[in-house]
Amino acid sequence: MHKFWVVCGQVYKKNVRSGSWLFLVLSPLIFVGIAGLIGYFVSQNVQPAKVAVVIENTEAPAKSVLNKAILKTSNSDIKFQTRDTQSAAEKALTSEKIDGILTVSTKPEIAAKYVERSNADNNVDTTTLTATLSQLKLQQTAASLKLSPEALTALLSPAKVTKRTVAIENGKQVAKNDTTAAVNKAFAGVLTVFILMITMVYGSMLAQEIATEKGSRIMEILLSSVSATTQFFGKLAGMFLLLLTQIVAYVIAGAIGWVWLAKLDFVKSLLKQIDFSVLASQTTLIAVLFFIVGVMTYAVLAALTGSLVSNQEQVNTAVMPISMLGLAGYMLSFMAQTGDSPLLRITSFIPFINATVMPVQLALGHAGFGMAWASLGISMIFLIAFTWVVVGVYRSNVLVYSDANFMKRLRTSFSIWRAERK
Amino acid sequence: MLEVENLVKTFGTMTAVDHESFTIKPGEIMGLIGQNGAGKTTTFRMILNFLTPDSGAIRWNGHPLTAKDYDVIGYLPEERGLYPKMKVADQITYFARLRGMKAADVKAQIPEWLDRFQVKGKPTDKVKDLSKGNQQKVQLIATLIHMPKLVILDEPFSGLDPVNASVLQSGIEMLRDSGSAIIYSSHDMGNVEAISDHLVMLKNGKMVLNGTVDAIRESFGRTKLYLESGLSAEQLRDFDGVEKLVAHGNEFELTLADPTVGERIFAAATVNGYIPEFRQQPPTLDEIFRMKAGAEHA
Repeated sequence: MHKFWVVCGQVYKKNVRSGSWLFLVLSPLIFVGIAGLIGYFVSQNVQPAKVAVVIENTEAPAKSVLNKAILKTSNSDIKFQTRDTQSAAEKALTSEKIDGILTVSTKPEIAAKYVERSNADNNVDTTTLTATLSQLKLQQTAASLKLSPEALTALLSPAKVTKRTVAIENGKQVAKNDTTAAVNKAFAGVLTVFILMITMVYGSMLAQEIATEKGSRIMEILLSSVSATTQFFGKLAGMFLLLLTQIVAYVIAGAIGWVWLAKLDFVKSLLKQIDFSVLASQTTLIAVLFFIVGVMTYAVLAALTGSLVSNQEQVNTAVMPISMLGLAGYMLSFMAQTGDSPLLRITSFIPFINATVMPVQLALGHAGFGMAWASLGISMIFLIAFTWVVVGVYRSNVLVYSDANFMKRLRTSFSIWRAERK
Repeated sequence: MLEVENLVKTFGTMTAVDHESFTIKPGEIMGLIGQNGAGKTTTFRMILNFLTPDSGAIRWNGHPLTAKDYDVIGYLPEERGLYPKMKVADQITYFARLRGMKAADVKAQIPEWLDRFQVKGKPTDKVKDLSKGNQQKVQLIATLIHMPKLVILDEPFSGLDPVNASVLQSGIEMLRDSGSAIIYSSHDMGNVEAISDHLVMLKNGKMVLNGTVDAIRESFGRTKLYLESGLSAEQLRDFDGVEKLVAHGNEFELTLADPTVGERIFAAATVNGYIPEFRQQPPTLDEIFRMKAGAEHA
């Protein structure tokens, strides 16, 4: 167990400090950060319109109450400021210190007129002003009618209409709502890209790691110090620690970004429209499980192809099968978004490819939960059997140094493995 | 003690190792010689458990060598490899930790070992910034720093200049003196002769020589004569039993059919008293190697 951690720690330490891994982790963060900063500066440049409030023919106490009520409605679009007299306000407008004047009279009832400078930086939408004043008028009227706040609320509450969307599956109605479907679809889309990226990047890192060790003959020293199985799983564990580090880095960056973003009005209003509880569904669980099993299967494949090279120049050929399979899965899942087909129904059960195809098929409603679980089961059984074979072949591969093509080397190593097992 | 008994390994129709047997005791150095493809590396790989022999047995202190014994092994493969971007100290530490050493112990010992092998470079230097010879020495340190009880060196002298070869030789002798059993392969018979207690020569997987260096040489008889005297090349060639004569300046190198021929030449050469050189020796290991390796072609 001690040596397992030595190998694992070595793989982790070596890569975590490497430029390529740091770039992989930081580049999306930097990209998002720059986009965020640009957005922030753009929004900073948009100043609220400065509007002077002048209240006419109203006595002192009522005037100040009204002034306060209007000032309170200042927001990112309009900033109200009081002026005692019309002439003071006119003067400010002439010297372009303010963008407009809102003149309010309370008798016989609340009414207003708005004068706006034509060259104002920001135009004020009169519906906003109307809404602000209507609210005040409503309160004034309610007060004069001696209505309690409860009575006012009861009077204003609209009739309630609830909506439910159903899909017809096997002649039965199944609850389904558009948001769920949309969120699932978006989630599946993001997940496919994520799986593709992670499997390709980490797969090629692992293949390269092993290929370099074999090509430089370090592998022989390693295998005389630690069993092939311990070394194999130590390397896989090291890679998963790296992946975990990357995910944790994103979660922390996301949390920091969230604290900042959640303050923005735009984000607040957007979040209200999305119900995140749909993410806590069976679809998500299956997608996450496919992600884990998929990444592991690709990692084992990477270890196999990495152990087949003879020298450092062949490292790229070791990475190729991973890229090919990864891309095939991605293309098929892309195809699935345009419609179902027999090809997709078959490939959503084939290990390697199903990691990307099945979650998309499921999210789009092309496949049911039963099929998804079955496909996941196939993947898991395949992963266990595949790992068992690769661990055996991995050990004998170290001794096969030939310039023959990839398939021939694969066959040679399998025959050595079989001979050694006798 | 390492015991190898009747080892056989075939790859398809090719027999790589054919009934090989030898024993290496603690504090003993064994040289394994033979041409390329004779079966040296296959022997090492079977000892290391990379390959399973078809038949025969390998025992370390009386039991088969398994993963549990890895910590007592020091192995230097024929083709060297280090992580180029890693620092010298980190590199040595990683390999030593895989042999069960504690990181702190390794770090404490590194300066001493770099000094012992005269490595020109600091522990913080990257491996790729060292010269090839120094990289090779770093690899040797990584192989030996845990003071293995069984040392397996595949062509340790290849690529080393004479100065570094003698540094390596004293390193090997230091381990022998500490009680390690050492087996190594080499093409350079000079080194083999200088440090091996015991010698095995393989040819096409078969053992053609097995014994101590002196015993093997003596078994060929003292048929080499190096002579500097008043006798001319013609006079020497007239002796019965002189098979070959090569002149090196004033010195003649003679190959004799029989050691007793030397006695007759000595008598003739010293008729007038003093002569500068008369040296009758068994063939050198190098000559024996050529003789044995070429036997089939001849």
